[in-house]
Amino acid sequence: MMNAAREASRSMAVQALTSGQAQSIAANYLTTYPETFSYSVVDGCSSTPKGQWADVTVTITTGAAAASIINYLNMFTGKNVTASVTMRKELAC
Amino acid sequence: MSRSDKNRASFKEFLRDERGIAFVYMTACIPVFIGFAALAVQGSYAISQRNMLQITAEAAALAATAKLPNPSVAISAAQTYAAKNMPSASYGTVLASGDVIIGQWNEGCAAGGQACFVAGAQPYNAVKVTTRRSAANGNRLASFVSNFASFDVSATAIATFGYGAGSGSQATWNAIIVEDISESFATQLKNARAADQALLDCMHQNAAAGSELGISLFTGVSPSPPYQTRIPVSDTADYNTLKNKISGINQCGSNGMPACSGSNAAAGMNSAISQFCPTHPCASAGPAGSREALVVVTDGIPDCGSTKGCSNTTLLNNATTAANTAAADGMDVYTIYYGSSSSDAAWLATLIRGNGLALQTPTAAQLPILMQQICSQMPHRLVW
Repeated sequence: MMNAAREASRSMAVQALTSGQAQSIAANYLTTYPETFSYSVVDGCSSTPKGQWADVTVTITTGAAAASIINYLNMFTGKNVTASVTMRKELAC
Repeated sequence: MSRSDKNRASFKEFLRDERGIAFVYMTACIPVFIGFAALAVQGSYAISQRNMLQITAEAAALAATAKLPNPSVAISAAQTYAAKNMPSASYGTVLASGDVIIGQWNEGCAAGGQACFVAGAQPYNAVKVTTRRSAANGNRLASFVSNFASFDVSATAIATFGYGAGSGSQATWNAIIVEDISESFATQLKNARAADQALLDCMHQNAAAGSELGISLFTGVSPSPPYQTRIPVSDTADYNTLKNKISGINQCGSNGMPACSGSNAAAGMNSAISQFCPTHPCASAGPAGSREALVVVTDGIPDCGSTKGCSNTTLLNNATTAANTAAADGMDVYTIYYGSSSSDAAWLATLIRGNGLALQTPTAAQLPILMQQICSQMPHRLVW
């Protein structure tokens, strides 16, 4: 999940990608895993003046119970595992 | 049978008795099993943390490289992005300022690997970042087993800018210096030439093969033909041509220079735009991701000087129109202002477009450093 978030974040940082495209990059990275992942891509340009640099943050979340090998006494049920990566966008907003 | 014989027989029988032996084995083995399980958890946690540290180091190094050549600003940027990825509230200080090292990356050096990074070597073109969870940083990994299993984890990343002349068909970074040579700037032209040379050297060392540099000079004369059309910086003959042309830049009215007649930045900008884009609209001819930059170097806002029938307002508007034209064709506009007028600085800042920066210094000797700062806006990449 960390690596997927990293790939999506870096790709969006260096290219003029939409949030959806960045999410697709992360999703493609995780296609071999059976867990269900949820994605959040925050493009800082939405709140940054034109001509300034912003960040892009990609956050991937999945259920801890699904990711665990043993969910002893349901101790992971209802909890999440989250990976988040923030990078500086190379292109000005 | 005596009492002692009875005891001896009982003891022998006890030794032969195998009932409950599993309990003995389990008693001995359970701590070992728990120890291995704890080590497995600890090891997985350490690997996970190492991965996080690596990604954090990469984000920090890339962000810091964009702030070169100013070491303190670069270090601050690195620490900011380290904290964004691994907040100190959760992970402690993963990046100490001493673990951000500014230096030079020598592309294709014989030693290879991290040895190609020379700490402190100038001009700076790279940043080496080492993130840690360590005893020294006070954030060593929590141990599940004992102090024996507690250990330091670190990760290193090195980022630089540009792809280097040895690169294949990588994104090029092309620039045209639009330089003011009006009378008011005459005293500082020596520093301006040094700044131009700094940009040439920086591009020669770092820009991808095929990247080009040109020069347009401006006074109040319009149109302003190119002083030097753009040519590749990686080619030795072209590099020497550019070097000679830079050393030949002189104040207006000198031999080979335009007449002195005020300062018309738009004339220089339009000359540069025409080089990149003879007909509008146009797009970069280089590989994907290539950038074209106009670097306007001046000591003030456009003015007519003693030119009759000229309007300062028109010159200002023309410069804005030129910046808009450059932006429409995908160019970046940078400005370097030598002077201390806040109103001039503010107006020149309105000219920047795309990835451009508005830089200012009241000290002429700082002009080369500002030019290196522009050079560091080339595409950033990780080399380690």
